[in-house]
Amino acid sequence: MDDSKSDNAKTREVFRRRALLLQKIRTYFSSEGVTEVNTPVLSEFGSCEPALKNLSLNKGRRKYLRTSSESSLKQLLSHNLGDVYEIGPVFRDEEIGPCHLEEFTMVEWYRTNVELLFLIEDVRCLLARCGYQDTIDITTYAELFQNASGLNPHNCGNSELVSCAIEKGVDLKECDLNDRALLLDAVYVSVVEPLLKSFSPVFIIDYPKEHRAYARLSGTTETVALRFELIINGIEIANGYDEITESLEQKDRFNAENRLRKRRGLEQIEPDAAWLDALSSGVPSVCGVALGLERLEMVLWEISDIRSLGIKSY
Amino acid sequence: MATYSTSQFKPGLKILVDGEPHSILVNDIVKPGKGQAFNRIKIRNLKNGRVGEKTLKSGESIEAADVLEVELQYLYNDGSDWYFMDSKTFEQVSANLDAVGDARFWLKGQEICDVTLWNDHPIVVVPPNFVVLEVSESDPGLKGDTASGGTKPAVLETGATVKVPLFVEQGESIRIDTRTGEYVSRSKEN
Repeated sequence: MDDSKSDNAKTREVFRRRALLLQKIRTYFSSEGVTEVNTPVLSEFGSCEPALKNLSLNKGRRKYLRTSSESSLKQLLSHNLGDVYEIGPVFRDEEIGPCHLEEFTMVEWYRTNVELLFLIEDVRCLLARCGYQDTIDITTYAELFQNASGLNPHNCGNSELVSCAIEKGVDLKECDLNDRALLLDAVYVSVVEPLLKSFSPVFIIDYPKEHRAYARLSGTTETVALRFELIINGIEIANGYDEITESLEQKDRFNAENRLRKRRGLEQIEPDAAWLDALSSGVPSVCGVALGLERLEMVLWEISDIRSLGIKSY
Repeated sequence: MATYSTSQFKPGLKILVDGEPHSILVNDIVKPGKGQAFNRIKIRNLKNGRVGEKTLKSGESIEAADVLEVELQYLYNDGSDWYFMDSKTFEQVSANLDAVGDARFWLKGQEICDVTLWNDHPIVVVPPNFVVLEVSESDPGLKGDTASGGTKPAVLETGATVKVPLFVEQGESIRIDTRTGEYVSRSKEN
């Protein structure tokens, strides 16, 4: 009886805090002139990203549960709606753990005609509005990676990444040793990530091009991707891009991801035609960021297991 | 060959790493923002207790270790091996010195031990927490000797040496905590 009473109190607390937090986020965007939109959760197209597993429904024609609102929001950008944001559920199969939910709430927004640094400042302001007081540094991926592993992620050899990962106890027996993105991840996971927990909050910027996802590459040398991740207490809170706005370049990205999927023995996903059409019809220069609402709550309320943010603790 | 996929990983799972049986202590899923997910596990080697770490790509599989924890009764040793019996099936297994380890200091016969079997062979033997053993050798304690902290060494019937209070005499039975190897009390048993 006592247990269920305290469960009730916990659940009430979780949902009351959530309501207040959503209010603060909406107030911030409203004051910034960013328009709130609601877009479909179901899509004809899945995500090609090799690191994501789509959840889909197979009633009649196959439909996918979105892994983010990105495609819909880009379609809206092509209709000149200006800066937009969406708060809603997104889905990723098999992501379950203390920091992962298969269904979570994403706050995703797009700022037109700005640089990535503007968006970083935007995230800082939003967090401050939500009651987060700590200062957040900026560091490059290369600096983090090199300090932890001694290797330069942009130009070291694949074999150096392999020996570093193996030395740290990564089992690469079943891995493709020419899959550089995978090797960078292997070193990141075994050498860099364990250090992040003890770091102060940080925006990591300038990712290697293998991890560009849908971000533009910088300048003429095209060695780094214009991307950032916000890491607090060792966990990723937000992920932002200076977005690809050229349809052909985006199509190349989808194709490259499908090639990587093939190499990793994963299912091929049909490129999102609606997304590509939107870019073809013209999208302004834009930076976008996705922030995990439950992850932010973990930071704000010092919660160690994201699963306790549901209807009951389990 | 049975295998476990990373999605089945959880603490307590017995797996084969570098040909040795290990138990998973901690299983963490680590996923760089847009990157490949990995499982980082903390593992204990069941043979020597050593703790290590291992990281593997999520979705991969690892060979299962056929490890069983059973209660067996200690029977006797023949100088090189220690023999145990399942008191239900009366099946006997022998354990070598590596497996018996320090447990040998506390076993005289009939004790029920927690035995870890790997491919049906004992790899770890844990004696009962408390055993009663006879003092086979100990000098008479000197009254008023406080310099030695009020204790003296005593050799037990199994050959183990423990520190006992000065009043404990040769031929007496004493109770030992096998987890610390320390004297607990005199015993009325035996």
